[in-house]
Amino acid sequence: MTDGNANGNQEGATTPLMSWNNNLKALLVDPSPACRLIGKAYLTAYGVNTEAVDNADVAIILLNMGASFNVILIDMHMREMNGAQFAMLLRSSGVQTKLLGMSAMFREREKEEFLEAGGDGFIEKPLHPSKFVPILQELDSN
Amino acid sequence: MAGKDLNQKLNELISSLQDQGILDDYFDELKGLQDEQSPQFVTNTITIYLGGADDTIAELTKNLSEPAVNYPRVTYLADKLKGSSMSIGGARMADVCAELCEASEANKREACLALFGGVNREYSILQESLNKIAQLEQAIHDNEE
Repeated sequence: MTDGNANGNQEGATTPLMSWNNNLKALLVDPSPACRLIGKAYLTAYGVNTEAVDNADVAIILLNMGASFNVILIDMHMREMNGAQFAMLLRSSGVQTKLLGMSAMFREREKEEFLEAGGDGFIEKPLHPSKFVPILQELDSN
Repeated sequence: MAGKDLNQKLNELISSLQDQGILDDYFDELKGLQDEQSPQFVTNTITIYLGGADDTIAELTKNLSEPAVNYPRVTYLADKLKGSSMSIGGARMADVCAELCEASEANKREACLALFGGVNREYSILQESLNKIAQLEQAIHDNEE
């Protein structure tokens, strides 16, 4: 059971749809405001403490400030760079967090490039519990 | 009583839009995220989606009117619009954005222009539909207060 989102954490707080052994944290990097809002709402509803930012630069600033996450969800098409470039940048900076690529248009080559660059998984949008819950369960068991 | 009528109207509207393929089941799941902590989640999401889509479509209009189309930029914008439309359950809109994305990746100007016409048509329908949903959601929310 997590301590972060259980009843009593905040008056009127909604009980998450799932509970975890660990306090899971996610960073969502997506240029679309609607995708950030919905993605964060989904992850939060499932008990994941989530930050959502609109570009890679802000994500890097957060990480450099010492923020830590269990998973970073990355849209393949950000303004400054693509998902594979961002994965490569993170790995070369020593970031070992699980990296999950997301794309609205599934392209096999894009997926391969992302995984070769150090990504751990790849899902098609829209973000849905059936896609992210198994990954969270795996993270929570480690 | 008024609340029940409004909820029924809303459910009927959503069903009708889903029957027409304008919205898909994902919209129901999105609605499921609305709770006491976020009683206006659906309305807020619609507002944010429409604001973002307006900006993206304006930029697509500008890009596709240039003599030399910046296809990577058009692909990026169509992809972004597809993603946000899928996230809100806008199935037909997402489909036509996907086609525009593919045409742009192939650098096909005429196909892009034709498909962008389709994007505008589908967006007009989706925008009107989502605004109706937002109005009913707001009326239900006001009725409950």
